[in-house]
Amino acid sequence: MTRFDALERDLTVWFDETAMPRRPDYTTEIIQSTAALRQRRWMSIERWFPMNVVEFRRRTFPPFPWRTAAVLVALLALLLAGLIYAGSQPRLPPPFGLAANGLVAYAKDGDIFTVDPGKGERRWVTSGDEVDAVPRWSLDGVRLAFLRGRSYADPGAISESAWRVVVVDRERNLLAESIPIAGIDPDAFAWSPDGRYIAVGGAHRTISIVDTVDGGVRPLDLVYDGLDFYWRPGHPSELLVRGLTKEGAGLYLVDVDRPGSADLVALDGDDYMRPNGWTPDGERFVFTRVADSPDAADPVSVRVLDMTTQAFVEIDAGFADVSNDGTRLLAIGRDRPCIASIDGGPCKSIADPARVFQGGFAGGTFWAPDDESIVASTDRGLEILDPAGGEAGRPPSWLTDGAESWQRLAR
Amino acid sequence: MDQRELVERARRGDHDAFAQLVEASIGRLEAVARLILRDPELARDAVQDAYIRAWRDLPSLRDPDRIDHWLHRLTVNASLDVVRRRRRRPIEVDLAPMSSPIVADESRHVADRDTLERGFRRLRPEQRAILVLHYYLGLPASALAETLEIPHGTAQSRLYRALDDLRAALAAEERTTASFRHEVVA
Repeated sequence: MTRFDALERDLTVWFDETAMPRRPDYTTEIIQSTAALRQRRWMSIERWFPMNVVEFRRRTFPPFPWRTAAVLVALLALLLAGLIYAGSQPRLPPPFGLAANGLVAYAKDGDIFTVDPGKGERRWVTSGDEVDAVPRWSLDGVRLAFLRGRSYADPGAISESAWRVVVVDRERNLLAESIPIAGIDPDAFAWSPDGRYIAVGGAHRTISIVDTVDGGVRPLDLVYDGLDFYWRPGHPSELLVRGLTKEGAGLYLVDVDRPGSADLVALDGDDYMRPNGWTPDGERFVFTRVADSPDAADPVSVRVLDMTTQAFVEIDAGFADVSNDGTRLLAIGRDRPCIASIDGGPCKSIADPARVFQGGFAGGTFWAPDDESIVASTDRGLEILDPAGGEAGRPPSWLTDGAESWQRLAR
Repeated sequence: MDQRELVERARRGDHDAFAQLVEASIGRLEAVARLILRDPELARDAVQDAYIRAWRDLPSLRDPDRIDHWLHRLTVNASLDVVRRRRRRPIEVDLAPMSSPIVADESRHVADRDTLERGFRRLRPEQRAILVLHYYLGLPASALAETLEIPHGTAQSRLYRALDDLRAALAAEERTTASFRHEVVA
């Protein structure tokens, strides 16, 4: 037991002993100083009422808690302002995965257009003397990039001219424009996941990284070896390209913000590797192995490579296109589009075998953002395919003039 | 003239009435400030501030019967303000007893009071205030709540917490003293 078990009693005694209330010598000073001060203005009309009336009112009607009410009103106003602000901001889709279908962009006669597949409404994005081509929506669907040059004969000419990369917003306002880049490969023109960069492949085996804010262009320290390339989901600065180093030609993963970072993913060897895309989690990469010799027993196959384990599954088809949800592949099997599981197995045909499908180039086939349909190039023009294998029917009228990039919207 | 009438007159600007209120309450308020602050000069500043605010804001006092609670609140707030204003400067610690009580066992009691003094000083000013209001002025928890403008439950919990912290502070003081005695003996 300590001396302070009876602390409360001791405290009372100690306070009484030490307080010693007395009239301090500065009492008069206080009285004099307050006499020189004016009282504040009346704060209540109650002052003019007799006290018994005020008391009755106070007991009958408790004073309104103005302070609490003011705080509540302020909080409500803040909440309302936040909701209004959030509501006024456009909801954006994630850069990868399923999204809602927006506008389809295409180039025609040197200008860029968009068409609403639902309403069929068309809209001019650009016009003028210069030639605009290869429109590509940013992955959040907010901006549109395209190439702008001074001459244009046919799509093949793109790779033989100098082009500027132009970025506009949905209201067609110019956001950025790069310096001319020689010989851009229209297959190799891709937005980074966060929309910060556009990677373009060009002449002299260069890959250029275009800053979408100021239009600045810088070369990547990796020899470009053609074809399309793909930004890695979840890794905003990692790009998978066909490149060439002293290790040989093949697929390389490069961090565009880190010089000398190219890592070999798949070496060509006796085959030729064509990149096809990532699963939306960024964990698996899909590419097509094309045998150098057309007489090879197994000339083409799709490989789904696990980037962590380096294990892969092989699918009997070629030139795959990964669905937005990452579960399926659209590929070309025996000249027919087919659908296979990302985990492997047979590739099941979904379209007319009499037509020639051109899946062998980027944009030859592509999934709608909602994965409900596929745009495919055929020898008769563009068609819409049903991934479930349903009858394609006549191409819709909105597809007549072209379709190159489908805007992703929030679902 | 009773206190209620004095308050009503002071509310209407009668400074003589206010002076009578000051005379009637200043001893108690000065003791409260001194107990909280443990410094007569700081207590003087706090009491002056409290009465200046009281005179200026008296018209806003709705219920004359609550004048005591109101003055206590002004004094506590003024004391805490004084601490806040002077926090950058070290407060002189006056270890001498504030008065000389007559007790039976003088040496033992002085030792207890010194320990109490040091332990009490370890508390935050807010904790000192609630202990003074409760154990010196004898305000129950409901009156503490009204004086400090906090909910009843909060007043109770703050009071218990302050008492607990004081117990801990006193135990720490006792350990320090015992250790010091041990070193001296050794």
